Amino acid sequence: MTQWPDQNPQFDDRINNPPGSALGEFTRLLLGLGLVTTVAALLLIAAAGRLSPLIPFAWEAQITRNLSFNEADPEALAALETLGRNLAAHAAMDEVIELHFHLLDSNTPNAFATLGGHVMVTRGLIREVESENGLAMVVGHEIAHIHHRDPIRQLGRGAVLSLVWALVTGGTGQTGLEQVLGTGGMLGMLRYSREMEREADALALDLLQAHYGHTNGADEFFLAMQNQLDREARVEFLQTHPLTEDRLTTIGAYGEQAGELQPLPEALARWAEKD
Amino acid sequence: MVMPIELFFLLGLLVLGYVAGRFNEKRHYRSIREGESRFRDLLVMNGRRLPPHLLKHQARMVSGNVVISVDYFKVILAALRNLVGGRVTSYESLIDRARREAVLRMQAEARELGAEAVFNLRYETSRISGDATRGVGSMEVLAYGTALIPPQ
Amino acid sequence: MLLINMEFAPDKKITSNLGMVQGSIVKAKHVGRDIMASFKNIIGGELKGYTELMNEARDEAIARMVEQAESLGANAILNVRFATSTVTANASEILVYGSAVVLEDR
Repeated sequence: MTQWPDQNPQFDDRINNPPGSALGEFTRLLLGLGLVTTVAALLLIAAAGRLSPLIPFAWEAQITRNLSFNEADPEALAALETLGRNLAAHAAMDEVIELHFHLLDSNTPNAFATLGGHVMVTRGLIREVESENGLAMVVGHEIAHIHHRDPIRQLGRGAVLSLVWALVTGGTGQTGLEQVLGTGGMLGMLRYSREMEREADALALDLLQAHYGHTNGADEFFLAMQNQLDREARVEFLQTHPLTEDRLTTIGAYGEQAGELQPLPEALARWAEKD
Repeated sequence: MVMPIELFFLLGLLVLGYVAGRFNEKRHYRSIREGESRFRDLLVMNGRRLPPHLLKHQARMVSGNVVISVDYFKVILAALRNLVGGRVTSYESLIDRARREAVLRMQAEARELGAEAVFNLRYETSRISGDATRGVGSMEVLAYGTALIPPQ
Repeated sequence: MLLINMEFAPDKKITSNLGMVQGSIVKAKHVGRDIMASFKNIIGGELKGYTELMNEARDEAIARMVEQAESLGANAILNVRFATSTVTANASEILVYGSAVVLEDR
């Protein structure tokens, strides 16, 4: 006679329901994954920064072909262009790169460079500088960004960062793609990395030195920003251009300080005061 | 990118899920063990061959089911696991609980009918999605079998 | 109507086999039965509303199967099995099937 049980057996709970702190597993996975994704992300972003300049400038020009700007006073603009091209001449820029200068009728002092070689300077900024040298530092800085292909670098890095984020949060597929393209932030304000800013400053100082023979007046705008009483303007500027103090130190450490300051081109000065 | 306030909120849910989830689970396991010892003599087997002493019994189908939800902590832990692979231990406990609870409820129904044993036990598991993108919102387990009732 | 999930009843004998019968129902799961469901998804625990919902759905499916068996003149259904499948994201089908028979005491 085969044996039959007379009651249900009792088992150790741990067989089908393993112990082991859930919390411990969670932290281990989180840290482990966090570490791996961070490292991978950093590597990918660095690679993107290196490889993005391979995208030809012609592509940038193509993309920004249909950008239209409310061009301000043509005389003022001509003056800005002259200054810009004179400075750029010292940079030995790639022939393919075309520079386009624009004056924006905004009271907030700002200047930025974006895809397609477009450099924009606001009326508010012109008001904050006292001499042509001060303006040249800013314009030279933006030209330097273009020369270094910073806009396309930043686009690449931003796209890779969005992609990594989308992958990690499980968003590959339709939504992932939308995110990647959406946060590209192609046109408009691109926030450059500190290194990019430092290198742009360095080149700008070189340009000033080459053009004027000295770097006097280079710190005009940054000093003005520091003393800027209008908090709003300052915040907006700081959001896209990091630490002013470091830059002042760099400028101070650069070679020739003394020299005659050139006055602002008349057309620009007139336009800036206009209301 | 995720704003700090969203992150804070997520963290809060995570902590709530962990604390409440573990508390619920402990309590449930205690009641399961209690129930299992109460029904220890109501035999449950999944075979169809009946022992000789049950061959003259009446047969009735009995079933028990339960739907148990995940907690937020489990969901996140499982999501992390999905990237790495391996045992998803956070869901294993969920299934274990649901299965044993369903069997207990089936045994309760059998006892009500005056049965001595339940044979031919089968399980049916289905998932109820709380949210299509999040996968499992809760699991349902049905346990059913044949209750054997001694002749009057 | 006697329901048994084995293929025999130990205390009876089968006098005639009448064929397979089944009952099915498709029930949507998000009927707001358990208002606490989304909250429960954070803290865990039983979703009593859904448990009841599934019970009711199953009872209905069984009732339909029994109706089929009655129409054949059966007094019992053997080999009862359940099958659940997800039809859409929000609804699942519950199928119950078995063999309709006429049983008599041994």
